Amino acid sequence: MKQKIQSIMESSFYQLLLIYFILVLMITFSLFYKYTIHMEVFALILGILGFFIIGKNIEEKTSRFLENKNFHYSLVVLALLLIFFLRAIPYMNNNIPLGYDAGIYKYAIEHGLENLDNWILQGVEPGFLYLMSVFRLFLSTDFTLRWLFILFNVLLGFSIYLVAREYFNKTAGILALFIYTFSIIQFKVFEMMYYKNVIGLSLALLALYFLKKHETRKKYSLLFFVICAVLTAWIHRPTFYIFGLSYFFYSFASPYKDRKYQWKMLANNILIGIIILALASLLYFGKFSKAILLLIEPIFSGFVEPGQSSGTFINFFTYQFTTLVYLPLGIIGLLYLTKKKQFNALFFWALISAVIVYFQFFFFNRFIIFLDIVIVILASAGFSVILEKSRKIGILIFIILFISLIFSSFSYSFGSKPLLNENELDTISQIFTISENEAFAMSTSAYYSTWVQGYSQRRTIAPGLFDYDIHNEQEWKDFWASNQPNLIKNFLEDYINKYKQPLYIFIGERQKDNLMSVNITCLQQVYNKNGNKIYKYQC
Amino acid sequence: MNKLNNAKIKWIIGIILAILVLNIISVIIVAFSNISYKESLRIVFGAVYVLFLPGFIMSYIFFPKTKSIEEKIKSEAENSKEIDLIERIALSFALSIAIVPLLVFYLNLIGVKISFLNTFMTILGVISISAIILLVKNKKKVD
Repeated sequence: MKQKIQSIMESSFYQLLLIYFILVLMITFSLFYKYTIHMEVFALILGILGFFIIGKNIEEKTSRFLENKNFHYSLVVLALLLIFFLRAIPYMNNNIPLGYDAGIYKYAIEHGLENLDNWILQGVEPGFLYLMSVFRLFLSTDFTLRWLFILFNVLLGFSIYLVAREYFNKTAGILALFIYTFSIIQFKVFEMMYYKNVIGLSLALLALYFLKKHETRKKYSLLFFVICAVLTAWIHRPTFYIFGLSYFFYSFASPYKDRKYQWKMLANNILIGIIILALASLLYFGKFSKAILLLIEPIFSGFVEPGQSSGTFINFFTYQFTTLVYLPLGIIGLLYLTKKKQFNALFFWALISAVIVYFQFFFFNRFIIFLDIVIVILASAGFSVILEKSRKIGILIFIILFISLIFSSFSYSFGSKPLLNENELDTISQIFTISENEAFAMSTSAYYSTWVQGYSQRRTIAPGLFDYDIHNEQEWKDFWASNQPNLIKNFLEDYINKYKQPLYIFIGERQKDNLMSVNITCLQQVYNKNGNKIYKYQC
Repeated sequence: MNKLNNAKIKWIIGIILAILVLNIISVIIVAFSNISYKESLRIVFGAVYVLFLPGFIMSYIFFPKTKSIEEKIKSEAENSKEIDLIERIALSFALSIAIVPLLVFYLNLIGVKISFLNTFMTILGVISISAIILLVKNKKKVD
């Protein structure tokens, strides 16, 4: 009876899987609207049904054609080149870095360590500042922002490959690398220029890789695990947060083997964790301690009042529909780990990031990035399970999967544009030329704030950002809505009184210009290029 | 003895090939961008010098042998000091990213300024010390 149910479930799974992937292919070519039916529920059902096809351990199984050294290396190189070219496409005929954070990173690279502004100490990790201070001496900021960032994306590909290979098998390694290459979510991470996130993830995954190696008592693995973990903490705190939680649960789960709990192993795990925390804390000692202390309160309040601090990234609903092509495979991968009782760090990483995203705890939208990385790795395992069970269906799914991934990723990449055009950026850069050394730059729109900070080379006043803003949200709202000379004059005068320096106000072509219509004697337009203006305010 | 000479020749050819490839990359960058050849050379060699070379040489201290991906599975159970090429490349980047900024950070703490010369010499120091350790280790092995 049990076998009969098993075989019914298995055949239902394969039939539904084929229907699902045909629908996904139709969605890719816009022949079917993805929101017409609940595809995410379909993906979940498929993933759960996949539980019934999980057979042998896939770690022992590798596709024979991938055993060939040259073919294997060629595929890895091809995937790495594709990561590079996909991300280089937006920079063909464009010199402006992608993403809202580009201005912040430009400032952090050029002046972060030198000025150590309050917002830098709170928002940018010391590891990133020191890493960039080295690059800055050898490479231009422009190169660092555009091409070096692409190289770090390639490094992340390397890490994903190694982790999938180590936790599952070589086939999974190659598959995970290709899924990452074409993942729109991961392209979005690049497009939004989450620089620290990419470096942090590469290091955290390498740490997971060495942790797995350490389980097989490979020499030096423990040393490299600790180094990579400490560096993750030094370069990106949210990545370390998810990594630390995964390691915490892993420490308690891994000593349970063959129905026995190995207390010595638990003690070792805890000791390693304490060493990592102690070394990481040493790197935040002194001025940078703010970066940790100021994070504690929002993290805890994020658990008490979920749904408040989302972080900037796509939401969970959009995420599910963007990853339809590998979502069910990822669920199968997770169920594979559960069925095989492999409660490793990867398993806890998936579980914790899913809980944070689903229950909307602290920074929940940003944690979609971590969830996606692990789903990519688990999808490769899920795919290996299908390949091991049914080669023909596996190859068919493989073809559909990659047609869909390649088509959507290239379409997305070709449509990717910087947030500013050349006129806007040129005008912002002009502030440096026309202003006095001690003058202040001002952005009255959040859209331009980071760019003014990075490209004006002047201390920047921006609504709710950086160190020099002295008005609250309501006062800014009154300023934006006002056409009264007195209110605008008083608002700007507050800065003159406080800083005793002239103000250079940038008004871009995408924002309302409420300064144009008012007649204030101290205010004059000093630059205008295609609707992008600079006003000088000095009395 | 013959084996040792062969290894040396292999290394020299490898270095020449690497310099050639980096030069070709520099030329390609010049062709597709508006920067000069000199600037392009600085970027390419600078990136390799900072991001790859220190970790690459250090990786040989911990894992002296590179094995092919086919060999890997066979000897996984042994506690060997071998890694495959892909692992070595990833490790080279990771070690470089780890060691260089950390050294700069600690040197900066004791008052060494972060300048081009200081950083260049720091990285050169890492590379030289690693190379000396490697040479000593190899010599001991031969003896």
